[in-house]
Amino acid sequence: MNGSTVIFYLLAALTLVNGVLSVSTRQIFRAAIYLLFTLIGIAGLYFWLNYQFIAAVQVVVYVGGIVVLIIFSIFLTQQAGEKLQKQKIGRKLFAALAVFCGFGLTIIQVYQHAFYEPAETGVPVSVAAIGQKMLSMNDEGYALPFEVVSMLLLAAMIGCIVIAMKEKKITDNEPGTSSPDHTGKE
Amino acid sequence: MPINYYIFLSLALFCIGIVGVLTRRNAIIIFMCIEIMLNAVNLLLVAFSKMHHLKNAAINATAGTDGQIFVFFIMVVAAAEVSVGLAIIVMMYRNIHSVDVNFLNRLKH
Amino acid sequence: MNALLLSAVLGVVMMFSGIWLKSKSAIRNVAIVGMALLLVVNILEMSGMIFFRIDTKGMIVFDRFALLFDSIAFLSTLLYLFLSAQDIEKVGINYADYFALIFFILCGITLTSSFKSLLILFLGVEIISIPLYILTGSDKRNLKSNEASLKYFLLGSFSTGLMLMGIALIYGDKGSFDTNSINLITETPSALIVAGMLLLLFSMAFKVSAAPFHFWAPDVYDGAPTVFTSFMATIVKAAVFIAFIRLFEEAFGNLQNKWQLLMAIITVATLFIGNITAVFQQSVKRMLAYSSIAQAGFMMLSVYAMNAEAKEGLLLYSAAYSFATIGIFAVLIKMKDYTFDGFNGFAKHQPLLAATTTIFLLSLAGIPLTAGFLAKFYMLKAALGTGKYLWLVIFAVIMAAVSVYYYFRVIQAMYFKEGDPPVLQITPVFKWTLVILAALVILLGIFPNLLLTWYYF
Repeated sequence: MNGSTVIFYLLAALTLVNGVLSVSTRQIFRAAIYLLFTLIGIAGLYFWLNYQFIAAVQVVVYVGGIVVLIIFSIFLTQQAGEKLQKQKIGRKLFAALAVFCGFGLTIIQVYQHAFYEPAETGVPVSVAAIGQKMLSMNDEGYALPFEVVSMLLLAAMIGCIVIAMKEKKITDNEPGTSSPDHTGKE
Repeated sequence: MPINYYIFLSLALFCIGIVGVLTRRNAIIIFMCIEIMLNAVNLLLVAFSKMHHLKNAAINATAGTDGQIFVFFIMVVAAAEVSVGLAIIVMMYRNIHSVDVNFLNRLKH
Repeated sequence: MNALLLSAVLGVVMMFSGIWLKSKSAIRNVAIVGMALLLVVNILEMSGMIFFRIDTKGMIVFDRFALLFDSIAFLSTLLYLFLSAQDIEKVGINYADYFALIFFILCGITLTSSFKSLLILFLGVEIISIPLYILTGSDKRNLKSNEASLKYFLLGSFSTGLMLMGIALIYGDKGSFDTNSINLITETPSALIVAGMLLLLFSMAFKVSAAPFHFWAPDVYDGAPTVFTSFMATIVKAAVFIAFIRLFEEAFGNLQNKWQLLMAIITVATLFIGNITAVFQQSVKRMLAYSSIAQAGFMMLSVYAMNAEAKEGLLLYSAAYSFATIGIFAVLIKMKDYTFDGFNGFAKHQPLLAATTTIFLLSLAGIPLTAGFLAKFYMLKAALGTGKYLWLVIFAVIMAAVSVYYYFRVIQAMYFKEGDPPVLQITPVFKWTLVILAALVILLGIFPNLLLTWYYF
């Protein structure tokens, strides 16, 4: 076991442990912070794989954008520090059992599958190559989905405005509640 | 690292997310669980992309890039979904001062 | 390609028209004219006039099946706007944005009906879903609408997560998102492909509200503003079915013997739950929500059968079902009372509306001489054509008979009970559009080839 393998195990453990904590904690603000560490762990794995582009996007979009939005909305909707009510133990057990049966079956199947075992010698694809492929109109270029996704963002933006904008007739005493949802992203 | 480790890690993370969605009642936490699921998918795609890249790099220098591009699109869509979802959650909170959901029963009005 | 670009542009136009145009009727007219333009442009593309030739590198392919379905969807939406555009304006103050969102949904529909790459399928489904979450929650002061929107959003994103996991597993095996290269499967598919296919099957079943993934549908359809329920339960549902059949034909066609039994079980469960629960409903809106699950069960028959008749039948079914359901919902919006008793004596006060509603209900129940009958006939014929699972066909026929009961309850209330139902104001345009819809339903029931010739020529 060399140093890089140790780093992989550490990152994997960080991701999984924080994931479990985030799902099981009863304090919602802590759940968001655990989620943050899970996402950072995944970004670390991308760096470890030498995938700088995806790692950077992960940090910017998930860690910098999505978690911040989630924390915003926690503050808007919840008294931080207040504990959520306990789950019914039967429901928990049932869900966990069902999911881990499926998980076990899949894992057994996957382990019987012979994957290509690469020698760790490949040269990573450069960010420039990814960018060119994403915007090119050549063969296997992704210009069309790129335009489509811009439309999706526009639709989401209109949607957020429709939902969050106050109706003029009604006086609402919560001045801060409408804005952060659609300003953070575009 | 063999690809099996990544499959194991990302399936475990995915299942953690599913358990969370099925057991929790707070909308924001369910939402975080869905984000964990999406991240598991991203991790798996990146790992497969690496595998295909190493397998085919001799033939095609950019083999496996489409996996990365798909991950990028998933992230963009996730960001759009987050903004819409949190807007809906805040709107609901303004009306009933609670963000709990119960999928099988309706709230009493 | 024409329709894809134009619908995106129209979405933006509607967004700006909300700022520039002050009067509601002007915005409405812009939307209706835009919709008509979209339909015309798409029909022109079917006859070979393509305005924008963009090489999509095999990511989307506009074949006859996709174009004909797009035309059906656009025609239904046009009629829907004629009937209900005024009611959309009553939902909230952002009426121009609602039209913009509808155009974006249509853009997603053109993508999902013609995808060749799983990436486009994913993006198309998302472009359909995100505006729908918003439209469901657009009645902001209504708690039912809020709750429906939140539920729909959480469960929708959850099923998107499942779909993405399926796509990732398939990518792991094949190294490609292209449906044709996924379909190159030898005798024994790998575990990754099977797991991915199952996850895709579940998430698509979820999106079309097939049992056992249907539990969101009644609450969401009931909670959403009725105008938008009408759109969601008809055009959008048919579009997702088109994506469903396309995905399983093009990507998993070689695996048919693996998934056919599972699909048959889902069909039976959907038919059973939809029809039996609809019998016990007291509200017509909720009855229509369950009936849309039941009709989804019939459309599942085409995905199960997956032969030439199934594709023809699905096109006919989506037209018949969309026309009839849009009509009924349009009448329902004009009522003040959504229970069955609210329709008492409707025929005496509004004979024309009652007559057209009866035609729509007869079509949904599958009575001969209406489009619904032929649509169901094609589905059963397609299912028989597979040569397996005769019990499935028999069960579907029994369930069609059950459905007659709850559709006839409305007819009975309209014609054979006394009452004075309060009705909102009705414009002549509304009446004439209803008559046109009813005429289309009967015309398709007698000459289905009017529609199906387009599929071949």
